[in-house]
Amino acid sequence: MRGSFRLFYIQKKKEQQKNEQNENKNNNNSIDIQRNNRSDEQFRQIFLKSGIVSQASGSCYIEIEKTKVLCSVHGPRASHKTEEFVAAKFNCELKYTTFSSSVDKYDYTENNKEKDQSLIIREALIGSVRLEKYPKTVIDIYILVLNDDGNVMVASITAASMALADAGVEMYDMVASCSSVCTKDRILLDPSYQEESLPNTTNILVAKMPALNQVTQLVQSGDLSYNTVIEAVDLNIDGCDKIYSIMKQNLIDSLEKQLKDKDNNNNNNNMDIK
Amino acid sequence: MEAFQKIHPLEFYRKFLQRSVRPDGRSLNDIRKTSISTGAITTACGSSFVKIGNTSVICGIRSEVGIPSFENTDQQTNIFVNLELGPICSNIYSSTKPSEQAMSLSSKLNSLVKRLDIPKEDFYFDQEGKVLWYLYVDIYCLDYDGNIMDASILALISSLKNVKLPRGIIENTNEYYKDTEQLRSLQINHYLFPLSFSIIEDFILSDPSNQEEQLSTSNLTITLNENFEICLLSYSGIKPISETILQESFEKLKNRIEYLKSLIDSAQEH
Repeated sequence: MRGSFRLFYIQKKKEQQKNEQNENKNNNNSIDIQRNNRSDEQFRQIFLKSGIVSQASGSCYIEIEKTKVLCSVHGPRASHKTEEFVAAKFNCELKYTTFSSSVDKYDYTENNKEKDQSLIIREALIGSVRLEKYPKTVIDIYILVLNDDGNVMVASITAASMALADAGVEMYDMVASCSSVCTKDRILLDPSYQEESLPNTTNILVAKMPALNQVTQLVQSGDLSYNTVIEAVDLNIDGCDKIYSIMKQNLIDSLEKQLKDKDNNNNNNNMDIK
Repeated sequence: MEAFQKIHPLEFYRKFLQRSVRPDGRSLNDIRKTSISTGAITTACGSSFVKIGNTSVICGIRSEVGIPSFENTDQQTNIFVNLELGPICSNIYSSTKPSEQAMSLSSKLNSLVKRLDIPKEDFYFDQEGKVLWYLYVDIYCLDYDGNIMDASILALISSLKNVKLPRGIIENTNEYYKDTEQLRSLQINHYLFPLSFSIIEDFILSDPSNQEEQLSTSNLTITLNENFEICLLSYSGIKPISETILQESFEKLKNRIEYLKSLIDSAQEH
């Protein structure tokens, strides 16, 4: 049945007119976007919870206001193929749910955008994992984007790194990341979906390991002057440190909770024996 | 004890079941804590999240507009349900090939949607019904710990109740606009109340967990509506099922209906 009828892109007429007006304005001046309740360098509220998928080795759920991402890690587990005595294989797969965006259309099969983003996330994380510690094994990371309201890459990298920590995989450090959208004269940290889809803007993504002060991934797409790029990267690096402190705090909290639960269980078992 | 569970899982379970208790502390008839919430996905026109114990599913509905492909469309449905069991929920599923289990469950869910009796007029985009709304219901399993059937049926019914469709406007015969300030919901005349059982030897276990499903010889799923009419009854297994077992299972589900109804209704209020 799927695709047997013609589809129409629908939009409210008023909005269309407004957009046309905006476009006219944009041609004359720079893009004017108002942020509600936050400044250009301010992050939205972040909610993190690790260990929520019972069937996975490690998992993490992240909410950056409306952006919702779930990540689960399987492994390190034995590789199916008989291979040489080499370091672990590291796979990463990102998938958008079909209802994750009201504008973009996603199918059940992997499209180019998802493949591209999977690779960027893999590259950002692979430097932090001690793969040589797990020969002849596979580590699989699966990421599912439930709701896309911008900054999906940062949410995914953060969730994946937390999930790896939750799975107990040996790492040099957790990877924190930060992205921004640059217009002609403004740098907007933690962009929303609306800000990401503005025309004539540049996206910058930085991922780094703050404890070692090493950058693991740097992606910039769009034209921008050299000085602005440096400025934006500096801003993003500061943003990474902020995200890192949230991740660290969350990791400590979840470990404390696990220890408490373990204690409670032990106490209960002792009670049973008596 | 953990080693014994891994090496002889069936023997391990038998020891518990003979004392009418399960390893997780439930009695044979106990159902895990069930919770339903709706409206978490802002990009979908209706959504729900259902959790039964560790098993959790998220369901989102995408709406599209189209012209019906042929006239006399009494048999045609406007709702398409799909269940995704991806590698995110459990390592037994792969991302490359769709699981057969998911496909068979999807077809069951598609047949259940027809039992809801949603009037045809509710899908009209305009006044006359020349253009219709088509709803794609996608259920993603986030954590697979058994009894995915119950979770997905509950997710399906509560997300459909959560659907908000905008008013459609057609101008110049082929310009389509939606007015997001005037939203309406679907008129759903029936409920669906599912309950699954696993049968391990002679013991009937309500709401089986993942391990219980794997050890079971047969599985039974019953779905009733609010008038105690059977919407779906599926039984699969190597042993024939007796009438008394069926009767007992019906009674168990009937006792649960009131609770499920209040869960579905209260999830809509937030």
